[in-house]
Amino acid sequence: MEKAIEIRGVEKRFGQRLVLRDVSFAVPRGSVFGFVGPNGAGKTTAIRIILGLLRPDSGSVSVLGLDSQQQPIALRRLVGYVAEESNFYPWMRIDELMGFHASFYPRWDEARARELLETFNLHPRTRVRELSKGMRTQLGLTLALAHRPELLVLDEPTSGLDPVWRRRFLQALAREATASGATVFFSTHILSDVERIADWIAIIHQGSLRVVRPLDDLKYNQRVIRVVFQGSPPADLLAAPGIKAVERDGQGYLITVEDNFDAIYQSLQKAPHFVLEQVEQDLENIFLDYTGEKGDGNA
Amino acid sequence: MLKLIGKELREQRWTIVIGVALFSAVGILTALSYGMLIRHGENVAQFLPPGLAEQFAILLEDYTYYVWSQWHPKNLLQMGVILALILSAPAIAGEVNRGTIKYLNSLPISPGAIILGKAAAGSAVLTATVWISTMALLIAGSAAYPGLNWARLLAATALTNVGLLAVYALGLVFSALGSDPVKAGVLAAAVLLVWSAAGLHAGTAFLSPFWHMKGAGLFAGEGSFPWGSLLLLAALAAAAFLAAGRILARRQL
Repeated sequence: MEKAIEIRGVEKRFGQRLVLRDVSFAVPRGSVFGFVGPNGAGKTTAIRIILGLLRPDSGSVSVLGLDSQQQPIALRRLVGYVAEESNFYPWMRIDELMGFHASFYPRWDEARARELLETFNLHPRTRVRELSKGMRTQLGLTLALAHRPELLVLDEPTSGLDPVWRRRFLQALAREATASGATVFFSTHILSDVERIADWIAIIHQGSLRVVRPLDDLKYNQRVIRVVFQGSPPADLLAAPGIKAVERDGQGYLITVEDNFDAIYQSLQKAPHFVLEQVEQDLENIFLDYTGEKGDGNA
Repeated sequence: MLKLIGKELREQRWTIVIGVALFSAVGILTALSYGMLIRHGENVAQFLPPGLAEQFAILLEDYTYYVWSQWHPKNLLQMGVILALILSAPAIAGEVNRGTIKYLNSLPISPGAIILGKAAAGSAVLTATVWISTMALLIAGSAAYPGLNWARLLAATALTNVGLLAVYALGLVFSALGSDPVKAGVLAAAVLLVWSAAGLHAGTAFLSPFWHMKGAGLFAGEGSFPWGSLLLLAALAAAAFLAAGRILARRQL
């Protein structure tokens, strides 16, 4: 697997607070990678480290084959970045901002920039201060895409957008990512965004990475089985590899599986049982399961 | 880099216009005030104690000396310090305060290059204001009274200019340290005020940057150009610019 981003053992502390603890994962090239976690999980810190804007206390980050701490400028030339807050100069007109932005990117494509502005219905003569939050996010995406980046990094791009703007933004992002073939790495706490466009997912909670897998693989393997055995459960069955948790549920058991689902299910089928069924798991349940917040009702 | 300098100049365009207009007006008034003192000199001198009256007479004897004494160590230096701090204090702290530093930092540009761009724009504004207003003073002075020694006054302007760049650079250090432009300006001004106290005593005057900025050596003794002062002020400016760059790089904004 060719990697667009590789993070190895990254830790970051702000004062006494450990914000990232031994975070390691890789983002495959060409993937749309959803980096999911509740607010304060460490997503923005991780993204800032990836872009070389923050120094990790330990560990290393490689982006498109470049060391993010040693070659941050070269790296940022290849990456399109959309921040959570679009802090552009409010007094600039869109065309002025584009001219300013373009001067830092040797691969800037003016025709593509104009095309993207048209797609988003953004008028070049409008001042940044006159744009709504949704329009600013779209302007951010325009600036990030117009220099034809190999990697697009978006930090909570849909946060604070209403459903209409969110849908519009995600559609544009998916379309542009597909057309350009760029790797997309985006953080969010909105699970429907991930389900809509991501093909990989990483869940981070309290600075620790809980899972990294292809989304379909996670949804297929991360399931709950409810089983009521005839008599005692067979020895070792409930400790099979891939079983994440086992809970008593009246006469039966609720078995949370995170891997090897087919093998585990077949083993359970062979054991004498009264009831054997799969409990429906959506992404929200999976997320709550990994963040240990199940039962709170909050994602 | 050029676009960054262009952005800075655009943001400071009103400071440039107001600064040049104000400095030039004060420069012209300084040059023309000589005539008024010549006309009323005797009336003024009779109210002065003997020591001061002597100095007043010396001042009126040489127009070049008069212009220098009223412009370089007084108006230009004092207004220049205020302008330097007005330009430098918001340079980084203002970007942090508005949140735009996050956008600027996310671009493929190093913190050192950001400081360089800002320093280039700020220095250009400061230098243009100093020289345009001094030229206005010299033209007005030469038109009104003959015999003005341009060479000496221009040499003194070079010293004051480099000194003001050092003041600007010091302001930039405080700007890179904080997120409040007003605090950055006040702190830089406080440091300069304490530093200037060295100039109150003849034995320690050389420790004050303002003493070096005045170019008094040009008008005393043989009147040679104080290269030592120029190099010292230039080194001070360079060191402060470097420090500002390092501080910004370490801040991880």
